Amino acid sequence: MTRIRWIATGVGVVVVALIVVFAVSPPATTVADRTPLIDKPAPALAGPSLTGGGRVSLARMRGSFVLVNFFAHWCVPCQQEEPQLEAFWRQHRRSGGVAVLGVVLEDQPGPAAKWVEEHGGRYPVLADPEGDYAFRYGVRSPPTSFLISPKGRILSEIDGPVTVSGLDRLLAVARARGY
Amino acid sequence: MAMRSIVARWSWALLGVLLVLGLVIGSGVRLGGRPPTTAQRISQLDHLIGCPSCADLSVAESNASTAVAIRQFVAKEVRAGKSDTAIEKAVESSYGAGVILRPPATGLGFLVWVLPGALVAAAAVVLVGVFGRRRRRGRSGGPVVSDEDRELVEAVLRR
Repeated sequence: MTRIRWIATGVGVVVVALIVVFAVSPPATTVADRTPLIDKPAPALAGPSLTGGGRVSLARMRGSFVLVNFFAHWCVPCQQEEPQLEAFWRQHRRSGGVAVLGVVLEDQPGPAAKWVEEHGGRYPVLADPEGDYAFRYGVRSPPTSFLISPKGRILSEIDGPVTVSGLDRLLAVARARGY
Repeated sequence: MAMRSIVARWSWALLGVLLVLGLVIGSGVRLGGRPPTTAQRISQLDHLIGCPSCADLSVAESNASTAVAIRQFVAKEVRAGKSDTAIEKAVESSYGAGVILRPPATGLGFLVWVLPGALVAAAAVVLVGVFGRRRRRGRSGGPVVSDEDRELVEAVLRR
């Protein structure tokens, strides 16, 4: 075999190897969308609740599962999930052990809190005018929710509207794992 | 003939210098040795961090609230004296490594850094080999004989 054929064969082998490697590796979008926060301590959330009840803090909710929900009142998926969130909160308010904490994202705090109250929600809601909380939680757009364990660790991230059944499933899995 | 050869050599040398100069300027390497100002560092980081809620835009190019929040965070941390690496790590800890618009130097991303250089080096080796062979043939003044020609002649002679 001449030298040129050897070189051509070598280049061909390298090209085929690269095609195989890139074909079996996960797409960049999948890698980018995976949150690095799972099983990490939940960043602090604290401030006056926009729905009344004084100052609220995530740290004071230790001992309960907490659903942190980033929302905006203008966002249609947030409007769709609100009745489900409300039902979930009411269901667990009676039994205890689970709390809901809203965070206003990309919205004016006043109208957002009023909107929550008008829809029956009485769970605490925090303002995030600088987007600092959203940044620390790696939130991309509303609605995004996080299930926090009683020890303050992030168990799941839910992009998009939540449902009572979906949240109950997550809770059941978390409890089964001993959280 | 000698004059032509000198001109050709100088042309190649000039081409090489221009190529290196273009690569250095294009890479954005700072040659002056003066450290970047605070505003320059903020701008560089803003262009390096991708907007998490938009497609293919850096936070410098987006006005989405997530991009604005990240820009504010970067500016605050730079002014607080944090290093670029620490700021990148902080953003990565919230949004993941995919938010940094620079291929990683490990894993598959390493290929993106290595392959262009390897291809340029391989091309240079091939070109030097081809030109060297042509020059040697030109000096010998004989007919141009390829490896295939030699193999054919050897095969005929063996019969």
